[in-house]
Amino acid sequence: MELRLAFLTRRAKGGVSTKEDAISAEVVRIGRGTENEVYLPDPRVPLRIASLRQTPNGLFCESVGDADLRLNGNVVRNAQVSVGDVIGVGPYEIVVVDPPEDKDAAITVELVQPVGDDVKELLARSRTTLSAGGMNKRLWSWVLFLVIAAAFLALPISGQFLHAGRTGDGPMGIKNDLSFDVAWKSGEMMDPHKFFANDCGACHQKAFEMTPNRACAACHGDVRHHADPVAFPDKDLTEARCASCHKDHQGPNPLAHTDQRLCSDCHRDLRERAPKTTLANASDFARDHPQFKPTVSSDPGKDIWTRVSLDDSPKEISNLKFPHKTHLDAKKMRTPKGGFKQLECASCHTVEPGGGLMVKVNMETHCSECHRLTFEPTAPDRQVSHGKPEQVLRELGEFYAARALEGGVPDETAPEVVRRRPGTPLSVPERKEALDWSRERTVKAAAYIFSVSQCGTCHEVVKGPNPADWTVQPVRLTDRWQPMSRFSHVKHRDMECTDCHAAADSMLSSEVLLPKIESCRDCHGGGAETARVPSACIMCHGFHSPAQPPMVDPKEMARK
Amino acid sequence: MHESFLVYAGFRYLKIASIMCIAAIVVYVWHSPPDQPNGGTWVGYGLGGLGALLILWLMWFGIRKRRYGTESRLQGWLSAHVYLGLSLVTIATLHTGFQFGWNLHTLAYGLMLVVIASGAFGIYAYVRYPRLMTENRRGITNNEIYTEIGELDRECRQVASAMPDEIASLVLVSCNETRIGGSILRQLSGQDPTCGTARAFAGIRDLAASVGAAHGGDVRKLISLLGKKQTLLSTLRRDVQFKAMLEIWLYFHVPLSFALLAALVAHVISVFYYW
Repeated sequence: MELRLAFLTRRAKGGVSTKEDAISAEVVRIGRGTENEVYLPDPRVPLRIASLRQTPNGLFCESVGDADLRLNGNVVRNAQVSVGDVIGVGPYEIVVVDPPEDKDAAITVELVQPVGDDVKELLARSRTTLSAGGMNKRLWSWVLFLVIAAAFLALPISGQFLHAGRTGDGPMGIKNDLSFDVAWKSGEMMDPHKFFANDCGACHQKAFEMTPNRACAACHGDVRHHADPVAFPDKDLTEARCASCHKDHQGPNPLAHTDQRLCSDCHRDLRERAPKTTLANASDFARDHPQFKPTVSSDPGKDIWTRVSLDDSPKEISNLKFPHKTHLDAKKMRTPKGGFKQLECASCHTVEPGGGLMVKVNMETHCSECHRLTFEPTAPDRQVSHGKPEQVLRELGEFYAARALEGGVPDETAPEVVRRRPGTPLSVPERKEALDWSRERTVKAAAYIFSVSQCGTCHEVVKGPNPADWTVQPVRLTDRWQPMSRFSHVKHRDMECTDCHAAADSMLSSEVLLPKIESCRDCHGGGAETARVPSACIMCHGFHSPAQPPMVDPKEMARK
Repeated sequence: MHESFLVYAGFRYLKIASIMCIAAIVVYVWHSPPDQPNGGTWVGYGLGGLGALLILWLMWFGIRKRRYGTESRLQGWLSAHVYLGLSLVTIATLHTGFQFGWNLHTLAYGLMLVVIASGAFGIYAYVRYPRLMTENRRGITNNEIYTEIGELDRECRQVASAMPDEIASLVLVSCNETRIGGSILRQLSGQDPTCGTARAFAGIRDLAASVGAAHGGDVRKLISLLGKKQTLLSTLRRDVQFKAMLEIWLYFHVPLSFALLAALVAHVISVFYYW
């Protein structure tokens, strides 16, 4: 077969250059190998891809190996081709054209898919920057900004309008529904407030307004002023915000202002600041605090109580005689049942269940086991009540009258009529005689009962001309020597009573057995103490004074 | 002479930041609030206000650095941005009074710490990677390397034009299926386990024995060319890796800064909304 081969090359500026070749071969081989008649020097073409043969019906194209050909766009293995057909071979196109007269056939070959620019293609395939890798600072900045602003600003604020005006069915009409503003909660609420911890609006009543006192007074309406707001119109006291001392969101413990500066700022020089005050200056328990001034009974008859410093050896006029020393001495404590008894402090003094004060000592519970109010040797179990003199006299009179009228009194000095056989009827003169005897005995017994042997052992008895005028001076025992301070015996239970109270050496009930401040200072220091128990003012003293008016005017609350 | 932003003006901003931190610590220790230290005392408000102003100023750097023509002073800004940004750890931590919780306030604090940590990585990256990039390129520019790779591809194709089809197709794989970088992780790893050149190299090496003696020289030449190409590719990939490390922190630093800005605004509004 004689074949004319024309290689076409398109120039960049347009136009086609042609390189012609004449081939004379039985079979025209096509491929990348140099032995091929149609040599296609491109690695994308196999070494041998196809061959062309002249057949009676024209040109026949046949693929070699497993390569496919494209005939006018259709994939074929082999095909009869004629003028105008386009055979695709890899990146080349072979077009069958009209042969010149001296040739059997003619084809043109053109590289229609040239190898591209390697560098450009490599760069196009590559992603060498993070933004090309899909990261986007601007997008994520917007997303994160908007998400956080929505979740933590827009939702909490809008939530309040959604929930506004809703009252709950909790205690005091409080609602405790969780809302979006839970994300604003700056710290754990104190335990007593947890039942409305989710209702921020219970305290934060108005946007951008500090928690007002009326919010606190909604529950704590009876909290009192610190000092008389008329006598001491100090704005720091009269217009103080509750929350300036009672800050919430600081953990589970109810937190009041415990720093002693709260007190010492004013009380350090209170006398200069508030000349009308009756209080002494004080700024630190360890360094600057007056001696304790217990309130003692100075005139029990007129119910007069006086504050006297322990340094001035206060005398408590209680009208009660009681030597602690004697009672703590077992050798002197003979009991009516025989034998001796060692008394302890706790035999009489116990802490009341609340843990604050001591249980009041009283005759019936603490004294009567030994101090028996007997009066009649022939009736050793019979006692009078521990009561008013009139009552005692009445009981004595009734006792002896009954005995006289009944008869059988075992007393040889008594008249016959009261010693008669019991139950024997009495005549009118006999009754008079018996009752005369009973009155005589009553006076005698009364003299005994009101003597130093009985009532007079402990009480001051004032005797008049006859028993009906006798009186016992009123007893004024002090419940709290220091009513303006708090002291818990329970918290000090691991100490010995005698560590503080010198009762074992006290023979007089007028002695105030209260330890001086120096004794407390053995363990307690000032508010900033590190080596002793730090004891700020608030440990013993309350800020709010029950004697003062409420801090939030109830009328103002009523208007709300 | 080039002066690092870290030593700018004789550590001027390091000194300023240190003084600020020490002053804040002294005030915090000296101040004993009536209750526990917290953001609501006057020291707390002071530290919080200072911290918020610092955050706004630090974010202003993002706008400032986009203004061209002030290169020299920008380094001062960067130095201040770095040191004052680091000082924020102390200022803001003291502002918290060490009170943390599952709330917006601690979220803002946490975001701030993450932003600062990403910035700290940025400092590390700026100290470490530019030097590594210079060493890696050995004085050649990336463009030169790309051009050289193009040359090698052309040469490989030329050598392969007379080679058996399996080898020629492997050369095409090397030319057509090699890429630099790719996904974020691939960029950061500095490697490409699917590299077309590596596959071609391994394939041709395996085929070398079975190729006839006539092609022996060409195969050796191909292997040498592909080996050279691989070396260049790994240089490029390391370059991409270093550049990615040099930039990756900014993709956290900047968006998280805006998250922090939102949290900060919400924090400030919320604490006064519920005063």
